[in-house]
Amino acid sequence: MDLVEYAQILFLVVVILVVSYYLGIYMGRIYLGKRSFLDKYLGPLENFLYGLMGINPRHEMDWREYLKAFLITNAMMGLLAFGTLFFQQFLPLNPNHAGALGTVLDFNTMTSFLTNTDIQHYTGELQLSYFSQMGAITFLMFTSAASGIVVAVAMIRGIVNQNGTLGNFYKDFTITITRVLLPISIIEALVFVFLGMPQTFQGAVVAHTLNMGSQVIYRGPVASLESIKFLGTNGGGFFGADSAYPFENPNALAAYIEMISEASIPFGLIFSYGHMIRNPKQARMLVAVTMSLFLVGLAIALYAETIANPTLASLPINQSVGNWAGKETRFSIAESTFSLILNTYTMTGGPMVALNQMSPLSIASSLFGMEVQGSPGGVGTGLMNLLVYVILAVFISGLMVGRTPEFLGKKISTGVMKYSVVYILIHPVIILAPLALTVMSGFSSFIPLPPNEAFTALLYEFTSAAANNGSSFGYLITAQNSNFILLSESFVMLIGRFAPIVIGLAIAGVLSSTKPLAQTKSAAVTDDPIFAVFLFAFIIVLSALLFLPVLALGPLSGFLGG
Amino acid sequence: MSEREKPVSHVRAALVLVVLFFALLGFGYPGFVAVVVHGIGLGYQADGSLITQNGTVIASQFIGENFSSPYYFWPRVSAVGYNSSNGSGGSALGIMTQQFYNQTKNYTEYLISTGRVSNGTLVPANGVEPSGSSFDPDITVGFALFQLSRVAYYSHLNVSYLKQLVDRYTTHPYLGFIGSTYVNVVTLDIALHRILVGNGTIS
Repeated sequence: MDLVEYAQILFLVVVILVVSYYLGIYMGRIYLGKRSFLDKYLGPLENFLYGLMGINPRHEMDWREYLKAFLITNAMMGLLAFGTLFFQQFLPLNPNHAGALGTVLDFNTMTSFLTNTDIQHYTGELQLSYFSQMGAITFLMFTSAASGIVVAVAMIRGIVNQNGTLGNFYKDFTITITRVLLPISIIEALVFVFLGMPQTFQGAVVAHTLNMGSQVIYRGPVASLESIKFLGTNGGGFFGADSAYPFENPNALAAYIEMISEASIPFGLIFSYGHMIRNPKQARMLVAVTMSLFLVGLAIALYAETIANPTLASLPINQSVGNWAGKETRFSIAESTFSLILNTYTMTGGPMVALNQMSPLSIASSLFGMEVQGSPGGVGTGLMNLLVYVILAVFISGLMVGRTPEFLGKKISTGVMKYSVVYILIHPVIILAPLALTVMSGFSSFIPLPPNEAFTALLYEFTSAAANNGSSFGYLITAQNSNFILLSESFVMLIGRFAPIVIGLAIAGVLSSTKPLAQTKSAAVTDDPIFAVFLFAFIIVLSALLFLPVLALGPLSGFLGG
Repeated sequence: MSEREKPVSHVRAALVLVVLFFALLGFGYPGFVAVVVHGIGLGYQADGSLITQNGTVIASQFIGENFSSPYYFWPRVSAVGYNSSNGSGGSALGIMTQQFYNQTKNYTEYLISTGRVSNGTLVPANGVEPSGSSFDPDITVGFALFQLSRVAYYSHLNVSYLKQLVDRYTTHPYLGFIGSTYVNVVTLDIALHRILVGNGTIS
């Protein structure tokens, strides 16, 4: 790595923190219902929408009602998107004449985008109509992001409130779109087009090239999809190559905007949390912990990508800058690597590199990020994970030093502990069980990759699905294993998304009806550096205990075995 | 919360919410962006940054093409051979596998044997390792310079002239540090093509 690359990383980290801080405070104010100059313009529109929905935005819901509204809304989003995909060959806006995907792939795609995962087993430019790219994909990118954000907001309210209520789901959902996601997406999309992204409803164009005869240039409504793809930590691209494709990422300026926007809500919501609980110190502690985890993962990957590939050491190749494989020339190796780690640690999953050709150590680092899911994790769900880690860490540190396990003045009850433990255990189970099942049933033998890479690819696939990340290795699916992998993965994505949300809202429900204790001296302090270090170590040890064996079988042996 | 509040119909509320946002976010928003960008003069980018010659589209400045004749600068290795009907995305082969070693070894030897380079010249990794998208329109300056002697030989243009040409199509980092330094081979080769046609080297 040279000095310029260090400057790139430093610049990105600083800008991400600054943008996240301001966006986070802004979002915190929105969810607290503070007045803003936007009320004049957006207030009437929102009230009109509430009227059509037939809801009273001042009605406060308890956790069961909030969950019910959440689940019904998500079910309808899924149905509508499935219908859009299923009937795409009969629907308009299909200038390239995309045919049917097949029911299993329709289902996989719908669950993937509904759960904010965005694993893709289709090639967008060839297999989706523009109607599907907009009506199924872009639509779900907004609504799944909004769904994730509002449950985190509900959880924060659970920590603050004492009357058992978590807010109004429909209002939270609506203002998340009208005041955060949509305005930022519109501005970003316009900038993206300026930088070189297409935004057109015309079909592909055939170029009569100077050397190779002809080449089909695929295009479409790309920019409007890309802006929400990153802002909502979605990650599924318009094209098969995703963010590596030049039309999705025409130059470094576009790449920086993409990376900053995908990090700004996951980190920003931590600042919103500090603002809403009136304890900014707590937020700074959590940002310090998550950013440290991210930087550790980044350092490992940067090391791995900037050394010469030992496998090629005997060939007359100048590898002085590191591993160019799977990366695009317009970005430095450090920038591409930053994108990989940021995409796997924020659960966006649309890195501007080809995963198959990253160093096994970078893959191990990416897997670690998806195992933790909270450094900083996806929009909303990341904060939720982080709060569960905090609850567990408070409890364990309480046991270690003999203090009352309480969190921000509220006693952590047996119920909350039980929920938290189940919450944490879901993740390894839905990764390791389907992985074992695929290997034992022999479906893994159809993966046309070298054996160790095939195992890593499969481990990566289920980890990505369970964490709702969405990055994945290419060349995993074949005719023999497609139904098995697509369906099992769909269920992993659904459980990985909805089970933690149900439990998280239940925890919020319990906390929201817990009265704070009188401040005692014996209570654990959760915003000082000692707790931050403890939390940092706790998250690493917990993930290592759960996942180190499979990491050793997959990417680590790939690295050592070469 | 008042006791006399009407119970909410969640089915109605959710249905209206979903249908409205389907229309607004799925269609209103992309349509709005498309209309605005064409209205404010960004039609070139919005339509795919297409390069035309005598009214025919010959390329997009952002999409790599397989310039393989020896008098052109060659692009990077593409897993799909720059054929967009094969989809897009990087190569399948892990970088520490035997298969990757073999593939890279073969192409390195090919570049050296066709490159008219002096003995012991190293091939830049950028030239032999596949891109992430398979449609990378760019190469590093190092890989462009590696190709100079071959291109000079077959194009009958002198090396310093070609160097200037490469320089003209080189993009430097924004503000001195954002992004890499790279050469767009699509626009470079189109410029080179026009020069060669003008000189009568090719028709």
